[in-house]
Amino acid sequence: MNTPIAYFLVVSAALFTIGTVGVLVRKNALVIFMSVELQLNAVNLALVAFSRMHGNLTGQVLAFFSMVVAAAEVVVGLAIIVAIYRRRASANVDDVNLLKW
Amino acid sequence: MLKWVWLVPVLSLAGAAINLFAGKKLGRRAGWLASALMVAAFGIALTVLNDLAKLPGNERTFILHLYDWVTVGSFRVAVDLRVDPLSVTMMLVVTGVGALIHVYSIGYMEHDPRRGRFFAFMNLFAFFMLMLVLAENFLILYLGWEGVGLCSYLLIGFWFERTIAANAAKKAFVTTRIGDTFMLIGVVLVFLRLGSLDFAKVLSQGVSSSQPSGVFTVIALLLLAGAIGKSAQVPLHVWLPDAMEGPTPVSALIHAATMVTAGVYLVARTHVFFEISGVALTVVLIVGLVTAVYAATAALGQDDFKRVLAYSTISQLGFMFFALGLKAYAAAIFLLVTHSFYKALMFLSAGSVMHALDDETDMKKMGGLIRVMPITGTVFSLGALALAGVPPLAGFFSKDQVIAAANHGGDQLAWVVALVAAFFSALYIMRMIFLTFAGRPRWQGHPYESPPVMLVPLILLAVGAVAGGLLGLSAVTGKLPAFLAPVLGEVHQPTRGMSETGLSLISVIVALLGVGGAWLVYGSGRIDWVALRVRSAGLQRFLQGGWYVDDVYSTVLVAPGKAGSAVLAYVFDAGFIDGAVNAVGRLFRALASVGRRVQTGLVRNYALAFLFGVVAIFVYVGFRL
Amino acid sequence: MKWLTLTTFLPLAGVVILLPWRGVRDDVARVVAMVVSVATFVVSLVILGRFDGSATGFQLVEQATWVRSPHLQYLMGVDGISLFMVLLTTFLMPVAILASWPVEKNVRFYMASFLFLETGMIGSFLALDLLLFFLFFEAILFPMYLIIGVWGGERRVYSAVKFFLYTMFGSAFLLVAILFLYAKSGSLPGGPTFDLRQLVHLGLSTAAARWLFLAFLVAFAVKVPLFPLHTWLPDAHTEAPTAGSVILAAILLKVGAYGLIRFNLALFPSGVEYFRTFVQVLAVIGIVYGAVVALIQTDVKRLVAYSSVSHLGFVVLGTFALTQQGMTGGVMQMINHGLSTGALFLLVGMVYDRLHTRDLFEMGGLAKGMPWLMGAFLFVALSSLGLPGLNNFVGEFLVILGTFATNRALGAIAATGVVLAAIYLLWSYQRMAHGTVPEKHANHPDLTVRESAVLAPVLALILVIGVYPKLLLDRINPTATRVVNQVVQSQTAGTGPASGTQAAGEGS
Repeated sequence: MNTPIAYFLVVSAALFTIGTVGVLVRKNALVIFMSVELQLNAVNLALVAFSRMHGNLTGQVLAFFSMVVAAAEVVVGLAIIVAIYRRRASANVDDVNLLKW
Repeated sequence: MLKWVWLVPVLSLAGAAINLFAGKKLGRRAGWLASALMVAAFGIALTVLNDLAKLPGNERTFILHLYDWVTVGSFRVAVDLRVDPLSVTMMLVVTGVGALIHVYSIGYMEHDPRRGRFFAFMNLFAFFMLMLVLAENFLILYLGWEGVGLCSYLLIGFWFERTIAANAAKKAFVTTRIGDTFMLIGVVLVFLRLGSLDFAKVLSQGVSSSQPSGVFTVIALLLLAGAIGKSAQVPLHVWLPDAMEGPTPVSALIHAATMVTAGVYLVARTHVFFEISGVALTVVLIVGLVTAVYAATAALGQDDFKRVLAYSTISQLGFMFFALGLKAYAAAIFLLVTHSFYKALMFLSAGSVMHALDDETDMKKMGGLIRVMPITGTVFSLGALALAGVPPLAGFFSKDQVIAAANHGGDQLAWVVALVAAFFSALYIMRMIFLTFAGRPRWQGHPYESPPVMLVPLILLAVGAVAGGLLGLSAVTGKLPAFLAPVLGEVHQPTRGMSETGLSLISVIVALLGVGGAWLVYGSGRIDWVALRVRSAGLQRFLQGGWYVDDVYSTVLVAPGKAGSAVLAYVFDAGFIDGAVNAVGRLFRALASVGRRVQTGLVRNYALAFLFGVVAIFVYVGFRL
Repeated sequence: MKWLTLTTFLPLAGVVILLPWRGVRDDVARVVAMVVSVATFVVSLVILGRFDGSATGFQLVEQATWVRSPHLQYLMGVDGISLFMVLLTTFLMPVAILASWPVEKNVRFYMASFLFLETGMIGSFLALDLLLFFLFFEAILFPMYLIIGVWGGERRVYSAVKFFLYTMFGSAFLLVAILFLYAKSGSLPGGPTFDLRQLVHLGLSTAAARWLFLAFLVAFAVKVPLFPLHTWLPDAHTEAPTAGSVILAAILLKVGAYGLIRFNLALFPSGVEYFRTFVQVLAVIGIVYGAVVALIQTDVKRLVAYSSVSHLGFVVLGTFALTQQGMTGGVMQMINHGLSTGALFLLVGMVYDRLHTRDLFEMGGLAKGMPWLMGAFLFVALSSLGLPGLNNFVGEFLVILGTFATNRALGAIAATGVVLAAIYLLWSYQRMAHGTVPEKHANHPDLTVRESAVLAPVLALILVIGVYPKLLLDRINPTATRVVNQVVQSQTAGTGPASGTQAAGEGS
């Protein structure tokens, strides 16, 4: 069974687009976070697909890296979101604009 | 002893140092120390003269090398002292008259708490003045030149609590510095053209140099500017009348006998340049003549008797410049010497009067003082008669030689003008005598004769004022002209003009006319001079204000200068230049205040910008491919 | 012994001691700083002792490779010009620290800042590697910024920021120009380098030399300061604490003038040829302009600051006259201005400590109660206005002589600065010392022992240099001659006609 690489890439692109749109339009920090994960996973999918296409492990190794980074990022990001939620009783990103000019 | 000539200035310097740092502890002894050192210096100067006179006429130049001062490439200036007839003459005047004035000051400054400092400055002055006259090159001369200016500043402003004295001091320094700066440029030019600053090289080289005479005209005029400033000639004379705010011995030493004659000395020393130029010599003559007449008239209008003497000094210095312009250098130096006697004498006598009258200087409040101060009155009158040119006093011979030189020079107009100036000189000085010592007393208080420590120097100076003429009974064969001949050139028997006897007779008549005129108005009692003053108040004010030269300077130069400076400082510097700097700062702030709007603080906006960026890059790369 | 390194980094040892020493007593901090700075001075005297006055090149050179690529070297050396700059620095630093005794705020950091500053300044004077120089040059900026900004007067922050930005503005050009030179230097036999001694031989195109000259000029002209880049100076001087003003005027400004001589003249002869008159005209404008603006100042510190603009004009004018006399006089003026203006700031500071005002119109009659303090002020003012027998005269005269030899008009205009100096200095002295004393200022004490100790060495040096300037001249002259000859020779070799190296008369 030899699924063409294009299939994987289309799925990956769709996932990435969904993630991007999610980041841009949603207000809840947690949902945005999940959208970011979606983008990362889209990339991972593409990496693994390429790995298979080339017949070596480079892409998979990179995907592992990406997962580790994502995990670390989740830890930090969730901690921040929780901290903000405790402070402001809201996870709405529009309420947090401290880095404004 | 010639090798020991360095001791002469160094003794004064030592006195200055001791009195400056230990003057308080020395107390009254400060004055005695300073005077003793001056007398010692005079003694050494006399032995130097003696040694110099032993040499044959043409070898009477001795240069003492002390150490190298400034050496940069071909520019070499050393601290060298020059002993020749001219410098020895000046050295003797400085130390001799200086010593007498120092002694006098012991009495005059007795009650001043700062007398230690006073004598320190006086000694310091003597040091710089001696460096000036003993200098072997222009730079050392300039050192002395500026140094005496400094001491003049310090001593005019000695009673600095009085704003008027402080102002006068600053004015004196700044006015003379204007001339000095021209002179400095002249010195620079001398080096650039002649490759040295040593008198020995430059003055002899000047004669044989192939430089065009125009160069020498420029050099001579620049040097002359310095001389004009220091010798208070028109147009830089305005500082000298104000300088009378200093203690009177200072006026006698600095502003009559020595420092103000430095200009005369300078022109005499560098007369080679002036002669090559020719034009410059004429300028010297005109400056001298104008000053002599101008100051003599201004002296007539003064009520403050120190100011009369100040204008009188300016006028007499004018006579000296006039003589220099006529190439009668020896006559100029002769007048310088005799003038230092009788003018110092008059200043010191004036100091005696002030001492007696509680520092009163207004002649309207004097009169009849001869009865309470017989010695002072007598010696003052001797000095005044000498100045007026009454034979056989010293001033007669010296002034007569100057005026005769004008006649022999062939310029009859100059001769007549000089006679007019001489007439006014006799007039103003006798007016002073009649107002101060003769007539009805108008003073209050209890004047008294001064103590011996002040009288003895007066009497000694009076001897000089009476007998000083012996130094130069004849312009050709007199002792002083003959002594100075190796430096200033031989004086030749005149070939043109009237006979000397005839000229002398005219001079005497003019002098007596002046004396008589003054007697008629101020001494005889037949004319009410007070009423005369009131009737001609305008003229009186005009003369008293020194022809309003000061006022013209302050409106034409000082006020616009201040305004210009203020405009530069507050409008141009703070407004324009610094404004431009701050404007750059404001520009960036303005740009930033627009640019920072991009930073909304909303993460999703950033993400959107991200997206656009990524898309843009892809599009670009896509087109490239 | 590596004497140059020792001199440079000895003050840094003081910083290392002071900075971590929390809770050190103020007096101990002062003493540590004093001991370190005096030790530095003593070590620098060894340099003077080992210096060969007749040699013209760099001496006591220390060389080590620091970074291989880019080829950055630790390269130090001393010649007749930098020698006296270093000595001036090490001499004035103990004076400044002793003058800072009354400072109470954060003494430890204050002293550390000064010592750090000293390392930066000495390093700038000794570095022969351009990038190394740049590092030291920038290292000066930060401590000075702190000194003005933390220990300064009322508007200290504004002044400190202005000082910082102004200088950074110039430095940006300098860094780019240095890197450009490095990029060009690949053609040299030893490969790319920042070594000043090698870069001199770099054949730059005329256009490149002109642009580089301009970039270096901007950087140093800000420091000097050359009109019209001077407006940071009055603010910085006025707001800095006394010792800060002293160091700023006496040494920091000299880094700019030194840079012009060391780099602009040596590296870009064709740029010099092109911009020489321009620079000289700016210098003369600075001389007259600084003096005229000083005339009207009522804040005595500002007055002295503007007088610095005027005096530094003489330095630049003399060095760009490209005559032996002008160059020697210019270098001499750098030293003289350091001593005289440094002393003026010390004295103004002492007056301020007593009266708590810098406004001349609130002073008067101080000579009565404080004869020694005012006497010292007059002495220094006289030196500053160029009285013969004191230090400034010799330098100023040589500058005017050297300038006159090549450009009469500029020499003559510059001479007016001497008259104006007399007016503003005597005016300020009169306002302070003469007249009647305001009631509240009647009973101030005269010089204390510490203050006398601060002033005495400086005043003595002012007199000694004036009376016997050969001490300096003989060591400066060979180097100055070399610098001038290099410029003039490479100009003759190049396109333009050269001017004479000597201001000698035709008759000699």
